[in-house]
Order: sequence, then C-alpha cells, then structure tokens
Amino acid sequence: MRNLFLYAFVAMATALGAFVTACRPNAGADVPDAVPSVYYWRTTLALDSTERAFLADHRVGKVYLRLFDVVAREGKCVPSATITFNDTLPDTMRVVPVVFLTEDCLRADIAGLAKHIVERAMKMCATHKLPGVKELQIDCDWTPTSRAAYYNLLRQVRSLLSAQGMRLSVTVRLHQLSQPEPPADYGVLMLYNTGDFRNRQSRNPIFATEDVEPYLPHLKAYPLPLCAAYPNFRWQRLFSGNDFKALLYSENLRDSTVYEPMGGDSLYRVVQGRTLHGVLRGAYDVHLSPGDEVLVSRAHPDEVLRLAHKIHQVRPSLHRQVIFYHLDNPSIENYKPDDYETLYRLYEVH
Amino acid sequence: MIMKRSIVCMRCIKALVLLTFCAFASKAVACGWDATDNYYLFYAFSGDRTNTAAIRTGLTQWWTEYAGTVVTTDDLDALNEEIPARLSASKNPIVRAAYRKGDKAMQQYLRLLCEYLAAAPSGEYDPWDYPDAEELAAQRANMLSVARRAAQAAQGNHRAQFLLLRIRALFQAQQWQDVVKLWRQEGGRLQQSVFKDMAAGFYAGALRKLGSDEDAAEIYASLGDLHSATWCVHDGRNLGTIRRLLKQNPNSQAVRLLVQDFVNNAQETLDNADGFARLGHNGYISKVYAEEVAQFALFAMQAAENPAVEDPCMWLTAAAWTSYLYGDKVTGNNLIDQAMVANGTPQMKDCARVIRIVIRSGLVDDAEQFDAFVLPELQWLTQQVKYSEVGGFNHFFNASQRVFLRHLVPYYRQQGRSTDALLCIAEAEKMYSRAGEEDLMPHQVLYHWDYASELLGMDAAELLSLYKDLYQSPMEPLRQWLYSELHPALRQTDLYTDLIGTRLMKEGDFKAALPWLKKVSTDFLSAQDISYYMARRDYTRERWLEERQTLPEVRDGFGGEEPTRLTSNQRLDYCQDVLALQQQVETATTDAERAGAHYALATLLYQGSLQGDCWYLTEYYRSSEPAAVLLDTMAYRHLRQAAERSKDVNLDLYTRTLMGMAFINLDATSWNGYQFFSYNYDWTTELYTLEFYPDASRQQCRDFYALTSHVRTLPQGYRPDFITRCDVLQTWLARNP
Repeated sequence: MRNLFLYAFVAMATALGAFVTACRPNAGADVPDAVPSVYYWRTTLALDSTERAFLADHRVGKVYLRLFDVVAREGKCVPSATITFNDTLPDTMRVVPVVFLTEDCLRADIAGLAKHIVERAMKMCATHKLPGVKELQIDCDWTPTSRAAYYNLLRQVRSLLSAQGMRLSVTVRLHQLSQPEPPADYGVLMLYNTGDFRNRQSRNPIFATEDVEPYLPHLKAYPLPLCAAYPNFRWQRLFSGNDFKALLYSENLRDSTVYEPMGGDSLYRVVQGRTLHGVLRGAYDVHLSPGDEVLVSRAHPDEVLRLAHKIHQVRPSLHRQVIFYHLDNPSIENYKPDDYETLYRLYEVH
Repeated sequence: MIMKRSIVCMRCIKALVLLTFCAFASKAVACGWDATDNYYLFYAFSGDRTNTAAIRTGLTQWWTEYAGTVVTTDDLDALNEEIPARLSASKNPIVRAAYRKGDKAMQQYLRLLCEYLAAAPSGEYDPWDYPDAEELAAQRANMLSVARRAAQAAQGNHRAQFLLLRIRALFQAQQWQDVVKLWRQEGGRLQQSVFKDMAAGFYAGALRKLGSDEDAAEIYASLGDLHSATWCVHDGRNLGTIRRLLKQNPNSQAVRLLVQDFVNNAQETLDNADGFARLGHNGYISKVYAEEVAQFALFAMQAAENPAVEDPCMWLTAAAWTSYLYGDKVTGNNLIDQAMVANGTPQMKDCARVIRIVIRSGLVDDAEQFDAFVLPELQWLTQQVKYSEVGGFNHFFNASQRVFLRHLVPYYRQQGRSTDALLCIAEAEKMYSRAGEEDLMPHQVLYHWDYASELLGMDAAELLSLYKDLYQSPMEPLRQWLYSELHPALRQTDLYTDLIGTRLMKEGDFKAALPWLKKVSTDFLSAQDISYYMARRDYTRERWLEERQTLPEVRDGFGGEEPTRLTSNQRLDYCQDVLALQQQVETATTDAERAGAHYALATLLYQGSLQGDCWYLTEYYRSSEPAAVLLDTMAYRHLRQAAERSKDVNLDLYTRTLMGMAFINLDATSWNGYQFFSYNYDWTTELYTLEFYPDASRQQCRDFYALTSHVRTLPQGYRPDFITRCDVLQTWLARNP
C-alpha cells in the first residue's frame, strides 16, 4: 500500500513536471541557426578592412542589419533613417534584417503597419540581394502600457512572414523579462544599455552587473528561446555639471585643442567653446562650453565575461548564439580578440 | 473695508502681473532672457552658413532676365510638376519663354531637366515605397540617358545648363568618377554663373563620396556652403590642419573657413567663460588651448607675410583679434592697424574695421581721442546694418550689438559717462528698427524699450543728471550724434520732465516735483498707456473703505490699455493736492482740523502708492505684487496722526482711521507679503473659506486687533456700512466672540 502511494506520488510529480514543461515549451530552447553574430546599426553599409577582418577572424556567420527605423510623425508611422547601401556583405553571411520601432508608433495609427514593414524590408533585401535572409527582427523598447498594441502588431508581422516561410525574432530588454513573452519565434536578450545614460551618477550605463542581476530570476523560465547580445561599443556623454547635454557619437576626443584628458581615457574636459554643426546623429547642433565634461563609458570585457559565466549557470542555451552590438571599427578595438572568442565560444567551453 | 474684494483682486493682479512680465519678456525689439549679445566678430565669409538662398536667388535672376518677366522660386519649383511631352502647353514662365523665343536648345534642356526631376528622388513619394532592383536599374538608366542626351545637346547654346544637367544626372547614377572627370574636363572652363556653381556643388559631393573630404571642403567653402565645408573638415578644426592646408594652397578657401572657425571659437571660449571661470584663474580654459591660440596668432602673422597669400588682411585681423582677446592688447592694436592697410577682400576689410573699434575701446585712456576715432566708425558701422525678408539681419547687425552693448556701454560706464552709455544702449536698440518701425502714435513712448527701461530704473538724481547732460549742457560731437539718433519719441523733453516729476513724487519730494510736472503737456500724457487709468480713476477715494477701482474689462497691468485723450495732467493735480494738504496739516489750529487734514493726506498718499488704485501717478507700469513703498509708510504715519487727534473728538473719523491702519500692509514685499488672513479654496465644497494667521509682531495684525477691540466698544447707534460689510472683520468677530 505504501508502495502504491509512492508510485502514485511519483506519477503525479512526473505528470506535474510534464505539465510545467508543457506550459513553457521553449524555455531554454535554442535559437535557430545559432552562429557567432553581430549587429550592424549604421545608416550606411560600408565595411572597412578591419570590419571585414573581424567577420572573418571570428567566423561570424550572421549580421543583424538595421534597415530602417519606424517613427511616428503627425500621428502616422513612417520609415526613417533608411540604410544606404554603398557596399555588400560577404555572400557566405546570413543577414537578419532589423527594423527599429519607436514606442510612439504604438500609440499612433498602426493600421496596415505590419504589411508596410514586412513589404518594405523584404523589398530592400531583394533589391540589394542580401544573402541568406530567413527572418525579420523587430526592435522596440515597449512598456506594459504599449504591450498590447505591440504584440498585436507582432502577430500580424509574424503571420505575414510565415506566409513567406520566414521567421520573426524580437529584441528583449531586461525590463521586459518580467512581462509575458512576445509572439515571436525567438528573442535576442539585450545585455546592454542597462543604466540611464542621462544620469551622470548612474553606474556604467552600458553594462553594470548590479543593474543586470536583479533580472536574472526571470531569465531561467522565460518562455521564449533566447540568445544573448553583449555590448562592445562606447558612449561619449557630454555633461554640463550634472546636466546631460548630448551623446557625441563621432566626436574625436583626441583633439587636444578642444578636449583635455582628465587622467585616463574615460573623462575629458572641454577647453574650447565651439558649436558642433551636425556632427551628432540627427540634424541638431550642440554647443560645447569650456568646463563641460565628456564621460566615456564602455563595457569592460572582464566584467561582461564574469557576468556571462554567471548567466550561463542560469540559462546555458542563451549562449548558443552570442551577438555583439555592434560592428564598427572603433567599437571593435574596445575588446581584445580573445575576449570576443571567449564570449562567442562560451557555450562550447561550458 | 471691503477686504474680500481686495483679496480677490489681488489674485487677479497676480495673474495680470505675470502677463505683464510675459509682455515685457516677449517684446519684439529686444532680446529674450538668454540673450548675451556675444556675437562673433570675425567674418571671413558672409553670415550665411549655406548657399541655398544665394543659389535660388541667382536662378530666379537668371531666368527672369532670360524670360523677360519676373520668375519666382515658385516657378522654379513648379518645373518638378511639368511633363516633358507636354512642355509646349506649359504655363510656366520659364518654359513659355523658351517656346516664345523659339530657343530649341533651351526647349531641349528643359525637356531633359524635367525628365531628370521626374526621375530623381524628390521626397514627394510614398515613404513606404522602396525601389526594387529593376526600378533602381531603370532609374540609373534614365539618369545615364539624360546625361548622354545632354552631352549630345551641349555643343550649342546654354553649355553651362547642359553641363550642370550632365553632372547632376551622373551624380544620381552614382557615377562619382565620371562626375569628377567631367568637371575637370569642362566645368572649370565655364564662365561664372549660378549653373556653374550648382555643378561645382555636385562635383564637391562626388569628391566626398570618393573620400577626398578636404578637396570637397575647398569647393564647398568657395561656394559659400559653409555647413557642408565644415562637415568635411570637422576633425581638422585646429591649427595643425590650418598649417598643413595653407602649405598646399596659400589662398585656400577651406583654410579661410578654418581660420574663421578657429578665431570665433577662441572668442566664444572667453565669452562662455565669462562670470564663472577665466583664463589664468584656474579656469576651465586650459593652458594647452591658450598656447594653441598664441601659436595661432604667431602663425597668422607669418602667413600674412607670405607673398603668395592674397588676403593678408584676414591673417592680420585674425592675429590681432586673438592676441587682443588672450591678453596682448598692444600687439592686437598694432596688428589691427596693419590689417587695415593690408590687401584683402572688402568683406575682410570691413571685418577688420569692426574689430578695430573693439580693440580701441579696450585700450585708449584718452576719452577725447577715442571719441574722435569712434564717431565716424560708429556712423559707418550703423549704416552697414541691413535687413532683408529672406536673410534677416546681416552680420553687421551682430557686430553692432556686440560693439555697443558688450564694449562701448561698459567702456563709457567705466569712464563715468553714464549718459553716453545709455545712448549707446538706445543706438544698439535702434538697429532692430531696420527690420521695420513699430506703429506708434505721435508722442507715444513704449516703456519696455531697452532705453526707456533704463530710464525707469534711474532715481530722481540720476534723471536730473541725465536731463542736464541732454538739455542744459553743450554736447560733444559723439553725444550729439547719439542723441540725434534717438527715436523721436525718446527726444521729447516731456518724457524726461514727466519722469523726473514722477520719480520725485515717488521719493516723497512733492515740492520739487511740482515745477517738473508743470512742464509736461497733456498731448504727451494722452499718448501713453497710463492715460487710460488717468481718465478713469479718482485718487481721493478712501481705498480702505471702498471697492477697488477696477475697470470693466481691462485690469491693471493687462497690457490692453488704449491711450485716452486727457484734458489735464492728473499727476500735476495730485501733486498740487498733496502739497495743499501738507500745508493744511501745518496750518490747522484744532485737533479736529488737523486730524481731517492728516486723514485726507493719507488717503491720497496711499492711492498714489504702488498698492493704491492710482499707482500710475508715481509709476509707469504695475509689475509684480505691489510691495510697500515710501508713500505707504507716509500714509500710515498720517493715519496714526489722524487717529491720535480724532480719538476723542470724532468717532466716525477715528473708526475710519483704524480701518485704514489695519488695511495698510507695511510688511508687503514683491513676492511674499505677509497677510494675516487668506482665502483658501475648498475643493470639496467649491467655496473659498477665510483663514487667519495672526502674528502680533506684524503691523497689520496689531492694527487689526486694535480695530476689533474698537468695534466691540462701538455704541449701539453707530454701525456704519463699512463695518457691517467687511467680511474679514465680521468673520473674525464671529469666530472670536
């Protein structure tokens, strides 16, 4: 009799376990076609020799290529900042076209938006003969208030894609892990932009372990297949005192007539007043005043690696595919080749 | 005492006061809150940063001449809508002219141009559309076809137009090398024209695409497209690049741009450091940068000596200005003199002349010598200030603002010549009138003008000194000229006599005020905004017993007052009445007479104060919540005198007097006046309720206590209306039986 009870208990526990697993069918599942990958986020496609060498040296097999943004203008969603193709990617590469959607769009008129996005993205891929396109990725910093509209849009996009035999992937920000999963085939967990770059007092806004760790409990059981995206970029943040003024995307901080290094290469002081005309992304100008400071933030490879190992214990499959954000000559220099290799091969090492 | 109404009015006034401030802040003729007048002074190029306006103007001029009728920019834009096959039926004046003249070559050019415009991305398309490979190929083929046919047609007339069309079509087809080749083969040989300039812009664009940024910058700069040129050399905005490029081309336009950029940044660095950190005070301007500026000045001097340099004036001016700015004033002065006689473009010579004014103002101790120098310079500078609907003010406007406001005003103030400094403010302000005069009635003064605002900020002694300088002393030529430049409204003696009389009354000196006020004409006063109130308000009414003298729709400080024709000067009447009552106080023989005179005088003084209904008697506008002023204190003292003398002889007057003393608030300040009560809005009941904040250390509260004690002892038969209607008093008595 005791054995009967024992068998019954085991059977129930097994059934319960199966039920739980059934509820979360993809938790821990791999992303399709996993391979070392990069994001390409510039507005002109043109690779220099360093960038091409990076792709070859690290056997990068997939480029997540931003095609255009979708922004809301006068209540309508329109494409913006469309990439210009001045170059081609190696034929051996698989391209995942990415469309960035501002959250404003989800509060605008989105009727027909899914069709617009899919058709335009696919046409761009065809026009420029992008190799190996099997999916589309949507990137959006949605919040609980915009989630319903976003998921509705995703369902439409996914339906249109599946009719063409294609997948849909999405980016997943850390704060979105606590929300129900989006209707997509898999997600890319963005392990960057973890802090507020406008706040001078915040920890490293690109990547700080303390800012990532609170989200890890949600990671293990997150129902969507996930892969990891790690940062290799840097930010040059201009402050006047504690007031954020601008991100200086392409400003040369080594110009000693304008910037004075304040020990090391993470803080510069402006020594010359000048207006930067259109140097920044977007059409606006910014004025540098003597005494302004530029904080250079970058993800530290050691810290990223430490946390990556920790994350691996929570969800090993996350590292079946690692993506670096982003492919760009100055960013490449921020890590040593071995660091890239270690992160790309993390799953194999473990 | 109608305190409730008074408080409600106070709420209105707060709002209105804010409106008044807004009106002052947004005035059309002067700067906003953040204006600093620290404009650049070094202009090697004109003030425009792009050449778009110049190109469009050049095109309309060329086509107007060709068509023999006015061609507008709208006509240019309308070419986008033309259908090449139907050109002969077009109503566009450009196309019509080509057909009217039987100009076959031009007809062919326009046909090809319309084909080009139809095929080129224009922004007027479905934003979601994206060309497929075939469409891209077709678009490219179209462009190449246009280029080919334009080449065939280019043998005859209108070579510049055809070359432009070939180049822009090749550019759209992304044939960068072909664009460069074509320009080098044919473009350089064309005669100067707007079409050649446009073609050169595409050539520069092709160079950029091919990675020759500095070459592109050279062309963009020579075309006046400084925005594009700056972009091309944005990583080379320093002395090192200037050195290197000058070596390649001693008359490089890109260098010219970089020099302008360097000098203006050097100036702006100091301007920005103003007030919080300066060079040499452990400031933010590093030694590294200061040394770079010094090296630049030395280098500029050497460049000026290079015989291959065609514009030594620019280099000498740059050296002079940077030397001066960074402390070497004597060298700066010597160099600017050299710049004035060196070869240079007219633009640069003008620039040197402006900078010389500033350098001299920082050097010369001999005021007479400086005045003799600066007068013709200022006359010249102000004549150069121009305004156009298309481009706004030219850069001489910026220079004039900086010269007057940042240099001459401080200079004359330092010399103790406040009148000349004041007139310089007026002259700077006058430059705005080049964009159009304000529509004023004769005699009308806008007291928010910079100059008039300065006058309102002066006390009576300063105004008297100014009056003496302007009307009672011989004027030196500079002052004479500055005065003659004043707006006619600001040259009226009435403006000054009225101000002096008004200010003296505000300072309590009615006797001194009287002769000044007598000089003021009613014509002058009738043209001012305050005449609206003068015609409608009565300063003899007891403010503490009666409702506020509001006007039906226009309240104090609203700014919508319409000047009203006056038959007398109410300020003068008021002044005379106050003097008469002061006399009565002195000559009264009984307590009753003296009490009455004190009370009447207090009534007038309070009404003429900023808190009174007739604030305009001693002010020109009512800004901020009225603070207690001297006249309130004087009124209060007279009320106290009246109370002491009426207490035993005149119950009614004594009661009125106590009401007055409890009404006056001597603790009132502009923003935080103490009131011992307030009306608080209850959002639940949607009613105002009266709350008291007693503080016996405050005058108003003490006097209110005295009033309530007095009211409690009033005889049964005496219940005047002003007591029973006063809600504040009645509420207090009810809550404190």
